[in-house]
Amino acid sequence: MTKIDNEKLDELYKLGATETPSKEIDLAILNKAKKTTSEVKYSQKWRYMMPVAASMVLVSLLYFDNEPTYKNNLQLESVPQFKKQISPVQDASYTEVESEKISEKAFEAAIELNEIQVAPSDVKESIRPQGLEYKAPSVMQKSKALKMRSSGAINLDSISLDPVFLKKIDDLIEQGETAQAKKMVLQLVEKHPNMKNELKKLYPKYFELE
Amino acid sequence: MISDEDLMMRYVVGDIKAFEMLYLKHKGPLYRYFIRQCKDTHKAEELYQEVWHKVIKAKDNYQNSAKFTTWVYHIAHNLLIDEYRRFTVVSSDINDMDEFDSGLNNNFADNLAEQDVIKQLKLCIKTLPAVQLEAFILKQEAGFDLLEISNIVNCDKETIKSRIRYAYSKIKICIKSKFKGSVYD
Repeated sequence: MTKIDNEKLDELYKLGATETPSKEIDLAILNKAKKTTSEVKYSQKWRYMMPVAASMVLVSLLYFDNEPTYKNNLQLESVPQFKKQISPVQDASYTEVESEKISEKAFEAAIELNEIQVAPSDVKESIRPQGLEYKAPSVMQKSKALKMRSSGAINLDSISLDPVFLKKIDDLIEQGETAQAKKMVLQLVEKHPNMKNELKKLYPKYFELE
Repeated sequence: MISDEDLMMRYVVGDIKAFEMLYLKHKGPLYRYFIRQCKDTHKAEELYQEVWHKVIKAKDNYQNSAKFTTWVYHIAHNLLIDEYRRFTVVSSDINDMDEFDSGLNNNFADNLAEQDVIKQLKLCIKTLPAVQLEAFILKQEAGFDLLEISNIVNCDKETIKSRIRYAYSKIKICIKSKFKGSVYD
């Protein structure tokens, strides 16, 4: 005779505890676990890659924003008049003559903009191109321009007209608003007497009565 | 030997072999936890898979603060409770059998086929009230002590102790009643 006590029940239970899940279930679970592991590896890779990429972009932006050369260039880019200018630093193949020409143009543009800024509001409005935001020339541009002016590198008489203003005048003529175009030409002459000859060549009929 | 918690931590960082080891170690007990308590085998298998899916899904938030088995069986318990709530009424502690009677004639013949007793034991286990059955299964399959079981099923230790004691008594009575003529004096 054997006593059926708790220990014996435990023993019997363990002997009978043989049920296990099917192979299909095992495979399904293990595959899911495997799949999630590969996803983890992928996400872990990107977990580090993304912040690194973001940091690099941020550092680059800060660098370009604080580096005077790029800063000026960005400002130039934001003003259409300066768009054709390329920083000599950016293009090392530029000759000294070419770079001097670019500096001259920068100076001209700076002068133009400075004059627009100090012009009476009505004149300013008439000569400012539509939809363009004015950006003041940088300190570096101004000092560069003053340096060139004092060194006599630029003849003020040779300052040429900005194509944007000329285009605006041409547009007015095309639209048949000749009176307004004439007014604008005369305002420019009044403001820039040294450009009179150049304007006279371009719009001779507005100077006929003179 | 590597602990379950270490295996789980290794799996968290992408070691699939660690998960395989963990799975092989616990698949049988966890499967039987559901098989013994669900009338429908398909439902038991479904819940079993659901537990593992939850383990896989929750691995990123796994913290080595609790015992792995306690965590897994807690998930299993919650799933089972949800299932009971949806389809059946949870059995209460029904102690209508005379537990002390089982201690009086608790002998059975050596020559009785062990397999028959095991088969009868399984049938007797099925007749236990749900809460007693769960406590008994957790003790048998996962080897939990009273405190661990009480943590899993959110009950106090004394209640669990009582449930297990009743479970043993009822199984003994059940077996005795089955083999009365041939086993007992």
